[in-house]
Amino acid sequence: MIPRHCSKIRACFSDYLDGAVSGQQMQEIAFHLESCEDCERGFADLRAMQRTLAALGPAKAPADLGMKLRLAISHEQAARRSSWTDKVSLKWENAVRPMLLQVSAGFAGSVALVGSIMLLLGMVAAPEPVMANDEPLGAMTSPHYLYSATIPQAIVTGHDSAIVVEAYVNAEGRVYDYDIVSGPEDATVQTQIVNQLLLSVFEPARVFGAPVRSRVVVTFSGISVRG
Amino acid sequence: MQAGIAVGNLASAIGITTEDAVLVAELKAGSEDAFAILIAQYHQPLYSLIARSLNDPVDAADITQEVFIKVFRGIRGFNGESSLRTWLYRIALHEASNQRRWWSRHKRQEITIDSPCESEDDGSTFSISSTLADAGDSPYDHAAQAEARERVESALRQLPEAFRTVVILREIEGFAYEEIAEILNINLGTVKSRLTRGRSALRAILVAAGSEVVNSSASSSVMQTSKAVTR
Repeated sequence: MIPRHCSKIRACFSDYLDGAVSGQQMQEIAFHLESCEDCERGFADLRAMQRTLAALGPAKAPADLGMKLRLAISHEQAARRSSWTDKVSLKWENAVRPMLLQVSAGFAGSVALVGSIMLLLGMVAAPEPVMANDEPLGAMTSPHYLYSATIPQAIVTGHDSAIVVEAYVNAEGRVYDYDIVSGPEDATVQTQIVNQLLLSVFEPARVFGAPVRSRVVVTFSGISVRG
Repeated sequence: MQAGIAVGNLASAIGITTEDAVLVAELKAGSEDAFAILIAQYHQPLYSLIARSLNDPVDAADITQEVFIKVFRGIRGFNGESSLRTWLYRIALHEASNQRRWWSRHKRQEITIDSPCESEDDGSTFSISSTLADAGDSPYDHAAQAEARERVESALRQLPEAFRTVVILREIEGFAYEEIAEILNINLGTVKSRLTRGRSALRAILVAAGSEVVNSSASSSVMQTSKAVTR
């Protein structure tokens, strides 16, 4: 068991070592150390330890450390000075340029591959069949009725049905022949139909603007039934 | 000499000196010569501080380089409230602390600041003063001093971080209490308290190590004696 006074004195050893105690405390501690062997030994230990620590000196740095540090600072300065164009250039040199050959080769290879595939498909695939709608329909017009030289007369017949006639129209728009598709075909009716068709004028069919012969279906619906 | 250093440090702790101000102005302007002067002046003491603060001194050169790069990047933010030296030491200790944390996470568990330290109350009668610094000049004395220094270095590495830093700054680097307080951003009372506890802890470690040495040498001599008897 350490006496209370010794504990109090030992608590001040650290400050006493550094001379950070008052004159009175210093005197009290010095007086105590003269009379207390244990405390004197403890303080001697601390003082010896302090001397040894002070004598340790600096831990020796590697001989080339100064040069390495200057080099590191130079790199930092160079990095700070470089403009954005330098940075882009540096990135290009370090990251893009080494891959440029591979990227170009890859791109060219891809183009060649896709081109070859397209060519093969074009050569092997069956050509599209020619269809009617391939014709430029806009360049063809159908014939249509324009007018009649006389007032159209009703066709008198004994049957109550419409008469459908297929008329053949020449390039001048005149009917030069006909067929009765449906309806009565007796002589009276045919005479009336001929009269009507001969006096009718048609706009001829045209191909690329040139009038051509064509056929037109005419329906006589105004039938007068004899009663 | 220690007192002289302390007074000089105390003066520099108060604020930035004229010489420092000129150097700082050139550093802020990005002068390579100014950085060369800074490196020449501070790389050795900062390396020493870092080497002693780390658990593994092998990393000290890399950490010193990190410190100077941080100084280069942060010199424009240095406002001269403290001396340049204080600022540099603060950065160095911060980097060393980061490295120590990494080290302790990856390599070993460190003793915490709150762990009880052996003190002079342990009742040990072993005296370390006889095993430490000696004023003799013989080759044997030199060898003994080298061994003592190595033992103290080893004991320092075993100290908890907070104590170790204060002990190194005070006992080896010779900083005044006020400057230690400024570097570590703690108050004067805490500096004194950590120094007292750090010295006690260091003494306890040295006493324990010294006792082991004495015990092992004593037991080996006993073994040799018993072998001689049996022969």
